[in-house]
Amino acid sequence: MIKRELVFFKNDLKSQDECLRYMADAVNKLGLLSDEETYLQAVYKREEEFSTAVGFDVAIPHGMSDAVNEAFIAFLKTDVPLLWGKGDDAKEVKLIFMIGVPEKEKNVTHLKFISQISRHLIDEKFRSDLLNCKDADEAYNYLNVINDGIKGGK
Amino acid sequence: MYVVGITACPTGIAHTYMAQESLEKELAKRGYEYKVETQGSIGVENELEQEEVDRADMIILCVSIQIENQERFDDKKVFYGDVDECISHPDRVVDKALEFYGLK
Repeated sequence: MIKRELVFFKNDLKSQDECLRYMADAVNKLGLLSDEETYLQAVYKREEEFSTAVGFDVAIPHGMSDAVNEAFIAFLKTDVPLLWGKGDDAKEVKLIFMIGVPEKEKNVTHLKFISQISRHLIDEKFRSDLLNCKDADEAYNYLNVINDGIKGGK
Repeated sequence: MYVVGITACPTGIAHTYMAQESLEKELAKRGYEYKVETQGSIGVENELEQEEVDRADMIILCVSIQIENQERFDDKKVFYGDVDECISHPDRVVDKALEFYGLK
């Protein structure tokens, strides 16, 4: 469900904006977006309502938009924390999950995967596994474990 | 102690489910019996029956949108919590609910 090409380890990003752009570019290159700018607008709109930095080093920028061809999750880990959000609410994050969902997503499997990964983020062990892993391949394996959880329901 | 709750955020993509997981963990940790419904992108899951709402000692709604089937809570004392706080500090949300119900 999560694509290996959408798992990144990157330490040279300087800001939330750079990170969002980098990830959206990658998603776009895989043909998952019909219009990158429109998708990013949806993501920014959501961030403006309330920052998606949810604490414990995690941010989950996401957008629901017609510009998304197929639901996806991209993951990026940075050892250099990025400041996420504005003003006093800004938080440092190291694990970024970028989510895109088409406005009329019919594929419940995709949505279930996304809800499943969201639930896993509450699990401290899952987060520390991701924070401690050495490369993108290892992270990919941790993320893929979640696929098993979908078949058995919640 | 039997607690029912609902979590729901505007896009229903991620926070809804994180908040559910977080709230369930906190309630389990306290040894409470519970059921938490989600209203998100997949629709309504783990739906609360009227009977369950009726026998609940506490009703915790961490919702930032208009929810479906709100009428289940008509004439009930309902504690409204913050979705984001529910994710990062579920203990505070449950403490506030206990206080609200005078159960602390």
